[in-house]
Amino acid sequence: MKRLWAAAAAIAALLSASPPIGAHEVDHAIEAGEALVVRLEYASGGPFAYESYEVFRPGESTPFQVGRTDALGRISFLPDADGDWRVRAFSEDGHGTDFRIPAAAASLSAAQPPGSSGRAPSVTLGIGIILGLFGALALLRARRR
Amino acid sequence: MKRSGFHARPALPALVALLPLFLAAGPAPAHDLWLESSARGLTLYHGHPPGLAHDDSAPKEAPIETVLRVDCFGINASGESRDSIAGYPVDFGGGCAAACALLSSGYWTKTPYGTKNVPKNEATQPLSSWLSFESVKRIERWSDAFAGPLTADLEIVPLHDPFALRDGDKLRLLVALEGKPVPGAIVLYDGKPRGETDADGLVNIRLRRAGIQLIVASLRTPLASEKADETVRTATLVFDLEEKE
Repeated sequence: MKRLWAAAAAIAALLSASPPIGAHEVDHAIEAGEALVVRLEYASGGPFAYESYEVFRPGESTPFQVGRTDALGRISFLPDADGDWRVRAFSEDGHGTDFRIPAAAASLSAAQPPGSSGRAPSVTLGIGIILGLFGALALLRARRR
Repeated sequence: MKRSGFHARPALPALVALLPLFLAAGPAPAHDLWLESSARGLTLYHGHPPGLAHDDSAPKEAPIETVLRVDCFGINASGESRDSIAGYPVDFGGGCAAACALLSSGYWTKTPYGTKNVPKNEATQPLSSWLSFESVKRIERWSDAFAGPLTADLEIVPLHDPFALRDGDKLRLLVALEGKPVPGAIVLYDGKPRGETDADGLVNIRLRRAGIQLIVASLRTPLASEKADETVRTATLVFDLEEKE
């Protein structure tokens, strides 16, 4: 019986200590926030669409955000610090721009907490299985007596 | 263009306060192309000339494999051409009163994964495509012989002596291709559109400062090819305007 208890405790510990995401799984959270949206056009007209950009926090050289402009030539980001945010956008054929935007940190509110997509149901399921095993064992022991 | 942002909550006062800042987000100009001359010859650069850079990238020599032709013109517009170059500077054995270069960076295709230097028929999910030609002309000294096209490429022709002008004066320009006026060409100065050529291929540009002057015209024409939808020609006129009292 001691071995059974130890095994059950180990399984419970594993489930409770599981990382926020599995090896290939990514959880998501939905937040509402005030994004800055910058729209870029070619000097001769037309959206600067699908091109690479980098956004830097004030005074930092590692990009805070990288990506591609959308089909309308837009970049959106949510500053998390006050100051001059640098935006660079460039294309392989030599078009580009590099400018700074004075911005205030955006506030975020969680509309849906992270982990709601995957982890919480798996932990609940694991605990349910353990409790079910204990219930079955208790029933067997009661019958033997 | 309204260079501003928007968001999911348009009534938020913080963002309203930020809107004027978005207006400063500039358009995305192409790298400039210009010729520099020295006692040793001509060098073709791309990037942004000192004093006109909008980013921290240093100008680079234009790749020699993209150069299709370099011309050197004397004061009477007599020319000497090189169809290929081995490196920079290109030595013509004497000063050029005007110099021209023609380049092609080849086929370009816009895709959802950026603009790629490949023909349309070799790209994944092509959205638009073009064959690019860039021509550049630098005038060192004025001659009335330069008041007409010097090449058959897309070319910006000053119709009077630009070196006689001061900051704030207007320069009358002709945009020509194969020696003929080009109506409807967009003309940019300091990277910003300043006008469009009229039915006679003419446009006036007001010079806004002394120093190196870069005036750019572009022309898009349909191309019936599986490799590209259009030909895009870009011409640059370069001259150095001395500061005058």
